[in-house]
Amino acid sequence: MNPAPSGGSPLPTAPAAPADRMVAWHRLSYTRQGLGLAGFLAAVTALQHVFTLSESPTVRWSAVAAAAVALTVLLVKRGRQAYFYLSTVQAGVLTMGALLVCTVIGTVVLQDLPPQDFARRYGAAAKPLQLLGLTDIFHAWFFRSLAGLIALASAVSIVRRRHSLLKWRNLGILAAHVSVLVILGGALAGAIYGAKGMIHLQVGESANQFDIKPKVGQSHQSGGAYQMGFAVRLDKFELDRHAQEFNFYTYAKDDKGEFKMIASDRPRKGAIVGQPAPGSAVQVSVVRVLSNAVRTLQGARHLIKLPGGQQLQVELGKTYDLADGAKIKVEAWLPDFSMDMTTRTAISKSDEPNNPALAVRIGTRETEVAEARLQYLFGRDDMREMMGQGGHGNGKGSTFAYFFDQGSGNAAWIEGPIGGYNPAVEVEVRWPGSPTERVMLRGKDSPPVRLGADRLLSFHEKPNDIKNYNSTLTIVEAGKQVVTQRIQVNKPLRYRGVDFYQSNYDPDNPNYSGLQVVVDPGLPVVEFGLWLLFLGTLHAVALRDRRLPKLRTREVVVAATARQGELL
Amino acid sequence: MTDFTENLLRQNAWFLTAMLAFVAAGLLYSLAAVRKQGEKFHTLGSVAFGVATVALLGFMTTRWIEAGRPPFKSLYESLVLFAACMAILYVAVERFYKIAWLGAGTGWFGFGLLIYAIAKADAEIINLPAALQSIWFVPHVVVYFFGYAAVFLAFASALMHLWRPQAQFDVRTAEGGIQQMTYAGFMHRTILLGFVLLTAGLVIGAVWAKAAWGDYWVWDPKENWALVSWLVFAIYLHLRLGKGFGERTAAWMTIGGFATIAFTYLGMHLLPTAEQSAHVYQ
Repeated sequence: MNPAPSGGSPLPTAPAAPADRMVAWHRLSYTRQGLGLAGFLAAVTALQHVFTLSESPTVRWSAVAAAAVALTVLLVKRGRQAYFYLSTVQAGVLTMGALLVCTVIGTVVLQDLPPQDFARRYGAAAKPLQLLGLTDIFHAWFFRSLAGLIALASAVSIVRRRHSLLKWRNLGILAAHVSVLVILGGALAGAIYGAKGMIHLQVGESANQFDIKPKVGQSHQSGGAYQMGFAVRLDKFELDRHAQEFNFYTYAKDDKGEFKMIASDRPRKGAIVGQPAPGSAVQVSVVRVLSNAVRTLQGARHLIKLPGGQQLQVELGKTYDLADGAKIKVEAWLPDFSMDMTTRTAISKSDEPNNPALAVRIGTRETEVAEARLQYLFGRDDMREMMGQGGHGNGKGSTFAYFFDQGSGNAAWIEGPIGGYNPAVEVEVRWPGSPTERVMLRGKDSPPVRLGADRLLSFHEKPNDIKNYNSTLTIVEAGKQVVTQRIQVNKPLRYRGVDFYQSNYDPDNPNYSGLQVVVDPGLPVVEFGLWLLFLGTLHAVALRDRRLPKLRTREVVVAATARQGELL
Repeated sequence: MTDFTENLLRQNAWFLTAMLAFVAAGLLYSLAAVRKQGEKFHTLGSVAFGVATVALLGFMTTRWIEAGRPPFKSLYESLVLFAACMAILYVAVERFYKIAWLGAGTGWFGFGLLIYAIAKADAEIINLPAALQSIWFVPHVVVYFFGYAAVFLAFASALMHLWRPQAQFDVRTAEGGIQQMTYAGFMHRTILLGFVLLTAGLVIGAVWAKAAWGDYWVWDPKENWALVSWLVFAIYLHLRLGKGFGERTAAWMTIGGFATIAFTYLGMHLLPTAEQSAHVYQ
């Protein structure tokens, strides 16, 4: 960059300024400027340590006073130089460069870990890292000072070039630099007047305050409670799930010998599905798609012995009322129950009734039958006994018992009620040189088809992950219900400057919801600043002006004392 | 390698067409660059970019419908988007700038992106998690990838500048005239475009983060590196104003800026702080 003059050579005395010993800081090499900045930031860090580590208020506040005095002396003696320097390109480059370096450090050194974890992770380096303030860099005082310097440099640049910046072609550059002040100002307002915390609610509960999360790096300040001035009540908590979907999944054995899913296909009539092993010429095509396959044997009867002793003959896909408001829904019949170890699901090994089982849901007065857990009732005596069903064994099993009566008719797959339990596909499997084979693959209980060595094709449900989390909240103020609104991730509720964000849930407790609460008067300011930054940049680039806005004539005279020219 | 071959065989016609179009563009522009009378190859090359654009838009549209969500979730999908942004941007650039070597570079780079996409192909379409279900998702991602594409052009120009600092090419001005330009000049223009787009991406990301989490900025590693790459170009723009910032320095800085962007995009899992990031591709 600039050829480095040898140290801070004194400059010619200017008539207008008491600048007998004025040094043009921006003419120093970047290394020297950087060392100067590093020295300043190190001093700030030292101050932070004295302030936070010392127990005695006298020591703490004397340190602050000493820093204030040092700063005042610096400003009195070098204020003009500092002011001048801050408006230079060099100051902008240096402060942004320092921000860049700090940001990189913040991604390389683990941030804000508990002290013992730091010691374990970094060993002997933990202490120096901590002393340098690198272990919680984004909350360190020196980092905040750096942000302050950036704001100051922007402000001084704006002030010193205000006349030129107000011209239309420079307005974008002005806006972009003002936006830095706006964003940092908004962030500062948030840091001072804002509060943040969590509210944990069960359905029906309400809260009118929250514990303020202690601001990181401010171990001396306790969080305390924030009174909202109104209450928030959780009326309802609901999970949205993605639509249920059944697909073909190809599994291949990996290097460790475990089956891993490598490809998937949607079930469409006529489609060729699955990814056979290389060199394997097997072809699987979809013949028909059933929204709910139900296996029946004509003339067969499914009997359930209820806890009271009476028997109930059931049909697949139907729901039956029991005593005390309970219900039983018969979802499916597995002729030959088995557990598949690849997909870890219950399957029917064959279509022969070797181990008949009924998949049922039992709802109570409290639990909807459709939401109840799926359980299997076994038809074979030995299985019933082993599973403790129908009063057998230790009583841990179901008190219901299932009896299967084979009858005499033919077995057939029929389509059950739409949207039912067990979507299925009938596929044709063609191995070269062998007769074509037709297989019914049910989404819930079929074993996979082999696709050559170490490869399987399974038809099963796509992991049905959660789509969104919804809390219905009511704001109660002075005994009155003011607002009721359903919030979800990305859709917070705002009331009187308090924002409620859907933030937490408990898979084991459907009545719980965790809300992140944010009070931050700076947020609209920051948002304005962000858009200003974008619009300013857009304007500046659209006009593609590469010249630095000119200093005002009088300012140029002052600048001349510091060897005008580097500023343009 | 069998994984790669199998993934390749699973790609649909849109994808394969785009891949061939990028190869064609790379070849044709390379020929245009080395031949004295390269006009014909040049024109054919720009047609190839047009084909790549249409094919990738076709790919993304069908995938959008099939997935029921914007196809920008996985690394595979984002690589396809990146390639599409590259092709679209180059079709636009071609209207004003006829720069054979950059066309060649873009063609081969787009091909490389799709090759990498095959290596990282999704085994199945992943559902969109709650945090990404926002109106800001599409603009945030699309703006960023156009920004990355612009920075790639700047990077390629920087390499060309270091190789042939004196080379000049024709630029059609808005008034219809013809003007001469160097690689360094083109590099600066693409940086300006890239910088605006990176700024837009950063701003949209911050506004979105506020709607989703209540914080504009949480010092997430990816956020930090997005800031770092933005700062590299902000510093570049300031340095340009001072004396002694030569075109060579500018070119090296652009290469550095592209490196930070590449790291921001693909290198996050290498960071020790990545565990807590909301942005790392699985």
